[in-house]
Amino acid sequence: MASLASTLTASEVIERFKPTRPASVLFKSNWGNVIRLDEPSWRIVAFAMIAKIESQESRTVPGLGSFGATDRAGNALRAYLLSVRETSLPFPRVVPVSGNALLLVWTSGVRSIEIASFPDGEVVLETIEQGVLNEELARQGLDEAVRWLVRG
Amino acid sequence: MASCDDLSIPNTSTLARGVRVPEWITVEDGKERLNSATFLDGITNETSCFLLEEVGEVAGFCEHILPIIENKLGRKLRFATISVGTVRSTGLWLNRRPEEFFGNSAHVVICAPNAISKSQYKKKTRELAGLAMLHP
Repeated sequence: MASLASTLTASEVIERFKPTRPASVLFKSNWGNVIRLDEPSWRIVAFAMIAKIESQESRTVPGLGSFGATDRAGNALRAYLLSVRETSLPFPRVVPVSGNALLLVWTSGVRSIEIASFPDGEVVLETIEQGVLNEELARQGLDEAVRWLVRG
Repeated sequence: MASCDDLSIPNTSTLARGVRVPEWITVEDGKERLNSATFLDGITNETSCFLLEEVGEVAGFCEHILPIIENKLGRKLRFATISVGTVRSTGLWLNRRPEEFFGNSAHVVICAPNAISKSQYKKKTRELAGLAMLHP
């Protein structure tokens, strides 16, 4: 996915990850499908991936977990990402997590950021370098974490 | 949610967990590693695993268990292994849940103590991901 994302344009990624479920489900937020034209490309990609997972039917796979993100998990992650001021960032990946949650993974070299968004709307940020957590950095917030990610 | 650790499951046992690909694998500096999604659950704080010694070790897991999960998911999976002792060393618990996998008593869940915060839980699942072995 990372290599895929890095070789596609933002519009190609949106096309690839566009929701597959018909928009006929009442009470389902379509906010995730609305993207401002002046958004940075990394955020367009992230929002498209969130919308793609939200659009999938929730289902339980015995022995693995239950998948399909809740609106609250998706909205909380989108709101969290809107706080980032940096515009030139690598494309992140957003993946489904058991229990109708989401995980965003941002990787640059040996550094990565993981953001877990839970079904109740709680968001947890972690910064990791060569497999080791950097809790102090995570406490400084997402804006500082993304600057650390791309600082090299 | 679990209220205690099932100590009848020995520390020397090994657990196998299905891994969604490519979603639960992060490539860092050209090397694959599991991300914390592998052991994370957003609602119950419980993740399904199988006791390898009760399913015929790796060969039995790949032949009898993994295909069932893959069939239900509709996609191929990889899998990771980790020892029960390692799971307990992070502060997480084990409980048997045969009723959640067709009555199979080898089906267990890694679970968090009730009082744990989401931040603490996320950290522990990240530790597990770092300690587990991803199989080809």
